[in-house]
Amino acid sequence: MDKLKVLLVDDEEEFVSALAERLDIRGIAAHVATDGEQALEMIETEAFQVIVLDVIMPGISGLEVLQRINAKQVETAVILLTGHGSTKEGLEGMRMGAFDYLMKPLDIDELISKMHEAVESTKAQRG
Amino acid sequence: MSGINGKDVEFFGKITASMTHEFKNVLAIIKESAGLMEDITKIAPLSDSKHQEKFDNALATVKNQLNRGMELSTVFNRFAHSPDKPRAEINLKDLAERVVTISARFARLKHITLTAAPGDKADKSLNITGNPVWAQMAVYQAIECCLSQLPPESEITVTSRMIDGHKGIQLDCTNVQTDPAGFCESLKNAGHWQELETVVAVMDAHVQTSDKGPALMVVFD
Repeated sequence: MDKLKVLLVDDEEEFVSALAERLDIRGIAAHVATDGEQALEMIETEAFQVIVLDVIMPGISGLEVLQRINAKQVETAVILLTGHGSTKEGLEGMRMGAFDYLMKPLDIDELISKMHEAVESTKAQRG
Repeated sequence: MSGINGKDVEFFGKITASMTHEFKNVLAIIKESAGLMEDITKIAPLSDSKHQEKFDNALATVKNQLNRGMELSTVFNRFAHSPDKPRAEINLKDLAERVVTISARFARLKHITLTAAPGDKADKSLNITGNPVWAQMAVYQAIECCLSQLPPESEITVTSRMIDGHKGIQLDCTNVQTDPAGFCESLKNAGHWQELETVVAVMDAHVQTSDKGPALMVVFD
């Protein structure tokens, strides 16, 4: 079975790099972008099954990145990351097509299970 | 005293809420870094088992304190957002738990155990409508009042419940030095009583002592 390939987008570099290493240990190929622009550039050249996207970032916000991903019609599932008290943005993101949202700090097992659910959901939509 | 819609309270709320978000980001980094350390030692344990045990213990402490930090920052975040709306629906069970958490240190310094009684937060029968900041202040002042009259090793249990047909919060105290009636009288003579009465009056609530035991009650409607 191919490794799950995901893109983690968060401006907190230490958070996202530690998370990527933990996912890598668990057999998930995790790539990292530390802002929205970088994420959009990476999506142009590589295919990711899941994008984990922080909602609040300097520059292009997570929701704007989500909007641009939708416009590109890229076949990928998006899971949003929100802080506590930011459920409004999470729900708004789901209305815009995100698969789900999770609150930081994360539970890694919950994240992985959500990633697999997201991939299954994308497959089901594809038919 | 600030007005209910005071700009100062709004300012403090806005900045504090923003800082709690930053604090959550710090905790998220610590959590992932501690998790990575745990992952690595599972793959490649330290050669000296004594060192491994010390490492595991230290990591367990980090994780416990992370959980404590997360719980505190969640409560603090909600506290910081309380000035967002001058009038909102308030769940008394939730209110009791939150004020107990933010008052815990004051109780601990006096060697008094402060707990919120368990209850169902989904139960809306104990919801009231009012100013969230003042509601918190009312419960906090009631706790302060009890703390000022209790000796070390006492306990205060904060419960949201119906009181004589009205929604309220009851503070039951143990280890009082006099009979219950004497304790209740001492509360009324405490320095915090007047401030408590002022705060509850703003909420159109009132404060009373129990005639059944050593307890103080804030009755909201």
